[in-house]
Amino acid sequence: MPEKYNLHIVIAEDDIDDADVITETFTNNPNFSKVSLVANGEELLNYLKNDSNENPDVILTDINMPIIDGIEALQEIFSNDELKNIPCFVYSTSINPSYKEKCDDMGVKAYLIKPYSFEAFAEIPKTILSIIEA
Amino acid sequence: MKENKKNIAALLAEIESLKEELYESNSIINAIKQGDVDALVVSSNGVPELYSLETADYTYRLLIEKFGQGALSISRKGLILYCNEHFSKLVGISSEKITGTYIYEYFTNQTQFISLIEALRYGITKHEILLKSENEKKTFPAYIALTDLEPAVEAIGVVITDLTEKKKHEEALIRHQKELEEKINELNKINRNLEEFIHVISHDLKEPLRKIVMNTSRIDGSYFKEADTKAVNVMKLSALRLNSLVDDLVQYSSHTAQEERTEIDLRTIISEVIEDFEIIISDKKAIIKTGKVPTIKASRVQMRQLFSNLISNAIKYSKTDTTPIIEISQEENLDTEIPNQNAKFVKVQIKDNGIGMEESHLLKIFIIFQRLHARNEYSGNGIGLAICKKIMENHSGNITVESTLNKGTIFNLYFPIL
Amino acid sequence: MEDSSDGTSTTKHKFLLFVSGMSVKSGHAIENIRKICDTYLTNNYDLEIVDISRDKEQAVIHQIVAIPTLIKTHPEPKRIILGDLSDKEKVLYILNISE
Repeated sequence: MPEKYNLHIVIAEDDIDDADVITETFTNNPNFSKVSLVANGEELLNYLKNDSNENPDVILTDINMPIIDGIEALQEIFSNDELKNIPCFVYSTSINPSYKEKCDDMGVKAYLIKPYSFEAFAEIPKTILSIIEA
Repeated sequence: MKENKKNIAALLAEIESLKEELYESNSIINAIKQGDVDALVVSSNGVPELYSLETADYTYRLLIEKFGQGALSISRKGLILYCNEHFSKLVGISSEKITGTYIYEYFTNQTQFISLIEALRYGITKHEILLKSENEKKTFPAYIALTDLEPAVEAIGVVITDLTEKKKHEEALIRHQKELEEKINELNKINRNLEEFIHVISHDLKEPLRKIVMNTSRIDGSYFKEADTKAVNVMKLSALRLNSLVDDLVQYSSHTAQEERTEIDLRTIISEVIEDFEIIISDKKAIIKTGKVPTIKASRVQMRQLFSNLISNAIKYSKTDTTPIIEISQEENLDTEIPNQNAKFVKVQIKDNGIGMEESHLLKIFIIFQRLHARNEYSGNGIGLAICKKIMENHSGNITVESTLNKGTIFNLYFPIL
Repeated sequence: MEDSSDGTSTTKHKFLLFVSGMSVKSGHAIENIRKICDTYLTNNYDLEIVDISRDKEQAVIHQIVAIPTLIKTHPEPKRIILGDLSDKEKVLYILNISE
């Protein structure tokens, strides 16, 4: 697999099992050199605002998370001058039309569906890459 | 001699004829003398005039006196020359005290009288007005109708209709309408809440299902016995089915709130659905013929769903050895089919030449989750037609079915013409 | 001369009843002539009712003197009866209708 990038991705996922799978998937993809995991929207915002952390190249977030959910977190990100240019992706178990609309309006790059097989999970980093490259 | 005989005969004939004329004239005079008539026709200047005797007018006068409206005869200046019993009752004053007074004394706004008389000149004879009363009510709304009796008679005829009851009904109607609107708003709110609820629940249900499916696929079955492999397979399929059920339920519940209604050309909807099913249509070599179809006011999303379900059913339940032919068209002339319906409907038929259904099954198919075939024969959860029924009900219409086993099925959609 | 080629029977009774608006006797006359016609001449009569308060010309044409007036125009001879036609025997006699 061609190693074109050294991307740093921050993933917000509250479900332990899904977190395992998704981090493994990205770690296995050579284009992503760093995978950071946070458990919810609040942690995501804290990570991004923390100056000692460098800004990631991509953000992938689940929607349904405790404390602060994906939509709220994204709203803050897009209203922050420093963060709003980072490509954001959302993934969730199902498409809720009103959430999708909000994401589209904010400028989320894609709204992905959580797949039903491990093989399909491996496609997620590839999909994200192709969208960023475009 | 002969001449004499002729003369006598002629004279006799003349006498006969005169006798008849006399008889006729006498009977006329006698009839008048005996009072058998109640009107005389007398010529004045060549124009016959009717002179009524006492009783002739009686019916008219009785009518005016007794009917359930107030009636008055007034001069141009408003002086009351006559008023009937009902008017007297309406204003709560005896008729003797009313005659000779001015009609505008009974108006709450006396100046209205002038405008009424003015309007008469332009042919406007009916108005709504407020009248005063000595009764408990003090004032009452009324309809006043004026008839100019000139030049025959120098007076104006007035009819007063009490509108109190009518106004009460109007107010009750408005109140009920408000109540209805409130109820509708409430219902819409409940529906919206329900929809949100369903979405949230479905999400939470699908999460674990997804994990089951994912992880059962991951199990390394290379060391399994046949029974184990079968067991894992059943688990996976069950989870998938549960997942699809949840999707269907979400869909079923989702068409409750009032979605936007626009003018929809059904032809467009049908061609969009055909496009969606391109693959399966070419797989089964199905032919879909769209005839004349109406444009109706409906929710685009729901119409899409409706035709998608019906067309996919028609394709799914087709015979294996015959080319599936599906015809969709509108039927004219509905009056004979739905007698006693106040609304008019337009009927759209979806006809197929598929496997058909038994008569006893026809009633069941619109029930949610009711399936007619074993699960392994035909896919589906049995919710598609229940959704169709719901959609038609949402649009104040109806869906019915006719079918012959092994011949085919016809679904009839009735859309009200608004 | 009897001409039966046009199909109309010359023995069909034809009446003209002249009334006026809502006069009491007018009402009775209408009722009574209908009764007599329906009983003795079922469907074999023509009854035209003229309200001369609306159609004064007819009064002149037929030289009406008083109301109500019934004129039997067919079959001949012409007969006239004034009044409300409540004396059935008399009416039948004058109109030459057998019971």
